[in-house]
Amino acid sequence: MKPRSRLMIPGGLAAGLCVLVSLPFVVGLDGDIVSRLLSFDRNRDGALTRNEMSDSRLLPIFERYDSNKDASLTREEIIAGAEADSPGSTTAAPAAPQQPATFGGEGKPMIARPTGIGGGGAPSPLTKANSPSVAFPDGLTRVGQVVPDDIKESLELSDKQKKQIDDLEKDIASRLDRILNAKQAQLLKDRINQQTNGSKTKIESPDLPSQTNSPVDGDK
Amino acid sequence: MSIPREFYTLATICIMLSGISLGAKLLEPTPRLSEGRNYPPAPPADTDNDLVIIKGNKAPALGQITNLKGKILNQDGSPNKNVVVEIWQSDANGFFVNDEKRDDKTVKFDRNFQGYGRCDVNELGEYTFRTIKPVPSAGRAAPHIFIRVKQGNLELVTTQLFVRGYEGNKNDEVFKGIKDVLNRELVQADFKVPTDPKAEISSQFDIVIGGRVLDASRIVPQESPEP
Repeated sequence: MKPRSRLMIPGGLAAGLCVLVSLPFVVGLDGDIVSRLLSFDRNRDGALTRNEMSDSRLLPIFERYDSNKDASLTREEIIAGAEADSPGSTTAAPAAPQQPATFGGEGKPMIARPTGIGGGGAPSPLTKANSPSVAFPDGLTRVGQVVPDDIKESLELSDKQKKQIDDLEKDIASRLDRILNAKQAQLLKDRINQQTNGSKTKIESPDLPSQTNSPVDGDK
Repeated sequence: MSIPREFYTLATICIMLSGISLGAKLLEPTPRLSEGRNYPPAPPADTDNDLVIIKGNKAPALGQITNLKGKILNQDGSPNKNVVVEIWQSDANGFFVNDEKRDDKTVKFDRNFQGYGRCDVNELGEYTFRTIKPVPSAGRAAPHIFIRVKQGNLELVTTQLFVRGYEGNKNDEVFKGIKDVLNRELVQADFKVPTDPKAEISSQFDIVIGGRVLDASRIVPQESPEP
């Protein structure tokens, strides 16, 4: 074997090794959120552990996305978390809590009514427009549900879409479970059950924050 | 077949290169954001890192006094030394130090608020300011502090610090303009209110330098409204 060709084989092997080791980090420099977060996955096992998250400024996002609280982020958890965090999401990010959506002419907040559905707060078929008090949206039968079952049927969703909505609702339920204390969670379940069982008792508005504008916006 | 010596040489080079790559991905760079239109065209008389007390004044500024501190770091986690951190923000009534209405006696400026300050980082890249908790200002729904890091005439980064979880953030044009979720995270900090009402608020905001730098001597105040 000539000296030059002897060098090509190990050289190629080494170059390949180099590319393999560096690729995840290069991709992660300016990619989507999944690749950016997983670029911290030092052992490249596909899951980002809390210890691997070397940037402490991103720990709040790590905690938010770690839905099963196992101190490890999977690709699926990152995607679900990023969807919940993105503007117009149907779930609220704890770091910047969304205000409750307002519906109808009264501007009253609806509890358990996620934002982003129904087009920017316009009266929705799910709500009772002009209701003088706050009512749980008709058709919702469980905590975290965002689309009533009968409407799901009428939308003729594909299997993939059904699964995506199911995953979304599970995620919302999981997040609500972390946001609410035990008493609040039980109260919410009771109210839903109450309505599901035929009682149409209106629920009075809880002490939710009202929509406020900046006191100085455009005022100077 | 014996492994040729060249393999070890090349493998060593690759491991070194990979090490550089690994080291470069410890921290995400802090996003660059607009400097707005309120960077002082000329430094005020007092430019120290205590914005609450202006030299010669006895009265402190209005607002919730806040100790803002942090580190200026490189992406590999090493401290960025020999840099200057500048901050500027509105007073407790929402007015900046260069506001055109400053001479109008009917407008409620807080004339005891310095509005702008500088701090040289120490050997660990640490900076500290004594200022007030930011409030919304004209045209901005989110409280924010402008921060610029300079090394001589080089502007390493200009960004804005937001109060984590503040309701108005999502109505703020600059904050909304940050589409990337990670980048949004990187420009927010907690403002921890102590249980002791006499104690001061504390906030930690580390800044990571990444990407290109600009020649700060070319920076001129923007004429157009922010963002």
